[in-house]
Amino acid sequence: MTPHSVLKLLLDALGSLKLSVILLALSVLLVFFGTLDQVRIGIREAQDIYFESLFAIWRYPLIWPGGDFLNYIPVPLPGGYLIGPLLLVNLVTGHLRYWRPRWSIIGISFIHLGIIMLLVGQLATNLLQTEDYMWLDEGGKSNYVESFQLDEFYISKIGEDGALGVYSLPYKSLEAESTLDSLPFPFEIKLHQVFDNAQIAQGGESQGRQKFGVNQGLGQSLNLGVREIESFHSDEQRDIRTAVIEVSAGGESLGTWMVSNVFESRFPQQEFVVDGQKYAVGMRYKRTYLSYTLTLLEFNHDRYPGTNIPSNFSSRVLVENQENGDSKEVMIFMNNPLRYEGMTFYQASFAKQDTASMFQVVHNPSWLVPYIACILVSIGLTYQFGVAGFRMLRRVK
Amino acid sequence: MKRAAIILMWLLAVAMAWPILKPAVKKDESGEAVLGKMTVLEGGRVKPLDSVARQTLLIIRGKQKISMDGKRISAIDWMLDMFFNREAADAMPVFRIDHPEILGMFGLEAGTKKYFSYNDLYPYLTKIQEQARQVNPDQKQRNPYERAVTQLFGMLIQHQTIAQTIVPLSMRDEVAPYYNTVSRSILDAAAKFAGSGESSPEKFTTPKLQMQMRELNDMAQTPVFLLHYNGDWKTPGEVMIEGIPAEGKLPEQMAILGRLAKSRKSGDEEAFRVAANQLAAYTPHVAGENPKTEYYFNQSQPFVVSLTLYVLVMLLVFLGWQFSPGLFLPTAYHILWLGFIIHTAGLVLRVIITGYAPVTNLYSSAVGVGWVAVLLSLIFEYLQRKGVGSLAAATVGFLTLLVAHHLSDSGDTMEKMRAVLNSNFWLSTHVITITMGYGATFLGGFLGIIYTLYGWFRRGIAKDMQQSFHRMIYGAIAFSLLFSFVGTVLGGIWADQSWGRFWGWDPKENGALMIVLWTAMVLHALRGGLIKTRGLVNLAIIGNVITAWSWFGTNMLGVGLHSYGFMDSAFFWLVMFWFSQFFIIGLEWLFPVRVKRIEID
Repeated sequence: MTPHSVLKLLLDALGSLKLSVILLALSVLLVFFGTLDQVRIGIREAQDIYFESLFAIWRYPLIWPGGDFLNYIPVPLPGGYLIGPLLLVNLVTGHLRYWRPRWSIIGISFIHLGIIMLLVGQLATNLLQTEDYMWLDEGGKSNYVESFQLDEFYISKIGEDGALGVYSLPYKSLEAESTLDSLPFPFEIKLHQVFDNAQIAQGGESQGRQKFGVNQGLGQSLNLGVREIESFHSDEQRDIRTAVIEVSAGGESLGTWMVSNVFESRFPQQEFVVDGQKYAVGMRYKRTYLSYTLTLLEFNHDRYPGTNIPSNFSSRVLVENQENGDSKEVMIFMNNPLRYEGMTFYQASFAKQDTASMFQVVHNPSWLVPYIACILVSIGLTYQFGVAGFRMLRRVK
Repeated sequence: MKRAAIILMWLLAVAMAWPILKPAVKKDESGEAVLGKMTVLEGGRVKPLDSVARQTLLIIRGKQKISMDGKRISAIDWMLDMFFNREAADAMPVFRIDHPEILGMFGLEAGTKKYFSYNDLYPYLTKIQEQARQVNPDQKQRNPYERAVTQLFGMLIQHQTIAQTIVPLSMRDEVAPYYNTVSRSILDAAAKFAGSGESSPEKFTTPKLQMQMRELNDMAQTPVFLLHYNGDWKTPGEVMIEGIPAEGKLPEQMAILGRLAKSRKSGDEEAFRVAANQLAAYTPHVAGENPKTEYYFNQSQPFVVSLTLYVLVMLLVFLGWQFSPGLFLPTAYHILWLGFIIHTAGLVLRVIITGYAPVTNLYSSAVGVGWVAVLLSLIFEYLQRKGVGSLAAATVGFLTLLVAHHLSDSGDTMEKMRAVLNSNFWLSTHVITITMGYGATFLGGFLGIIYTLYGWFRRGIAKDMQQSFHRMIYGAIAFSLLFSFVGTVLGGIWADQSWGRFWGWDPKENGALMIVLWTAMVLHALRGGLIKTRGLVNLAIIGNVITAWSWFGTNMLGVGLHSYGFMDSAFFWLVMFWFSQFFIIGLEWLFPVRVKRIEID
């Protein structure tokens, strides 16, 4: 066999309709089993395991009839990151090898171009999109958004009227028993313990909780103990990221603190002083600062008369851009988000007897791709089935 | 002879369609009809009282009518008795109870009795309440008994809140004297307060008045805003509280309610009719609300009528294939048109009544799926008059309307849309395209089943018949791919508009994606020559399995599957449906359909 013929065989296989059919059938199975497993592990995790991976293994759920036995049988599946690219290769190779300029099949090119855009666009979205949120009280103002999933460890330098500067580290980069010694501050921080998820409560050792030598801040004043627990695996409940840290300046320990993302909205910041300068430390949902501020002027929760069924949620918001002096009032309501400077603000939730409003804030540079792809595929399908239908009609007549 | 047979078939069809014509032919002027047409506010929507009665009865009894001692009592009759003649209503068997353990609580065995009156349940109220309090607070963890008890308790609460719309539950006397007594004590207190120069009215509130005010407040808890008073919808309790001090006397509408109660109890139909007309005269005519249309819709039940017509069509096609195609098939086709027109009219009426796009919930999606399937098969039948299109239309139309009928007993099927769904643009683009996709896939699947059955029972299928099946299934699947794809992407765009994410791997989205992938797979397999008609037929039947999953299965994931999902009756039927589909495919594999080369038909 010559290299040429091997290449030809390979291209034939990669561009074959048989491969398309196999891949499509496998993707139906993958989507089905991935959906089933969402009941067990939640949408987010199922997405990681099934749709954003190369391989996945599905097991018959224990709680179903006969689960004790059937659960042992692993069902291997190709993951989304395997099927997606293979489909893409299959599509492109197939087109390159078999495409002929003919009017009767021009629609197919449209369809496939649209599909490629959708697949690539989805990949781009996965890689580039960030989803955060912003809570605002009526009359309240904010210039940052918080992450739904990520957390960060921060140190902020406190001046007379608020923070002078914030230094933050992604939670994922924290390691227990390591030292943060290259901080832009005149002190270093030793991370004694880092817990992905923890149970924190008053009192100590009897319930299996430990104090880890905490002698400063909330941990000390509230007499808190901490115990590492399993992740909640939940889309609704965030894991309680917690760390025990020791601050030392000039080789001398200032004390040991407990920091956790559950403290942030409930208690005042934990502070200490080095060289007459006040600092605060903590763990919090990762923040991203914007170059503009949003002020919630009014939140409305409309209901149908005589009931509690909501008919609409809307927020009247003032957007002020410090950089270009731009200032405008906008309405954000269901199905009508605000798109501003690459960010999109969606009405997402509300609280405090309808006086606080939450926006989901999405940054997705590739948001237009699916719109264009949809149009392309629709045109292609309509054209192609129109041609086929017309032919069939003629044959029938 | 032939003409006589056709006339007979049409007479049968017209008899089935009679409910559509009846309201136009036989005008009902009774007091019940007048109040049935009268508009009230309930569930955030202005609707005829007849609708409230039917929905409430559907929820607690599972039916829109009551049968008692061989008599049929309509929903509005029952509700008017709930309002004005509670003793009669309390004796009507309106609570449906199936769970053996609950029946055991009453010392009954399963299967002996299904429907219970309030009087039957009365001795057990405390017990039911106790049991309902003890259920698992986590809804998802409840066992079937706990869910049944919770449901029964909820039904009782709903029954009781509606029962106190006109007079408090504790009141067993005449309505009018009760109103007058309350009115007098309110006015007395007001007069004393006005003449006293005191700044606070509290001093003049006697214990009796306090109790009466509590009762009025209880009355005001009813979900039915029965009266239109001072430009707003009010419950009778609210009208008492606000109206008596403001008018200085009992408001006229309350006096009418008193007369309605009196004549209802004494059985004086004429007096009841007069009072009913007086009360109905108070309700306003609001632009955009169509109580008359809705009343007609309730009375005529267009979807039930088309369901029965579809059954007739199925029967006629079978007769045609067995005995005389020339005699039965054309009439079947024409009656199918009648069924389809009534089906369409029902959808149009829904749009007129609700002001929303035709498909807004699971119930109307079933109606819509059937409609699309019937439309497509009508086109097929128009092109090739072989009865196949008619049979497929009638089968899918019948089954989907049956499903819809069973979905309707969860309450108002024309409810107002929650905020995120409250967008006619998306309802009429995304939801309709998805529904069309479902309809077409089901049509393909059922054509596959018909193909298999036809092949078995006729001992083989002629070549040209096979080709026409092939074309129809291909057409249905191609149609489905187009609309499922567009619908899925539109859904993504809607999600992007309302939550900021195009695709979130949500179960419902995944279900729609599976249909798209599956139909795309079938078309590629056909094009690549990997399958022929036989493969197409069987893959189309699997399409049924996937569409049923996408349509219903994904909805059950959130509530079902966890620990008790398998007990859910809807889930049971879904699994049965799946088995039936795989059974047919398996049987076809064992006993393949033979293709006849020579034409026999």
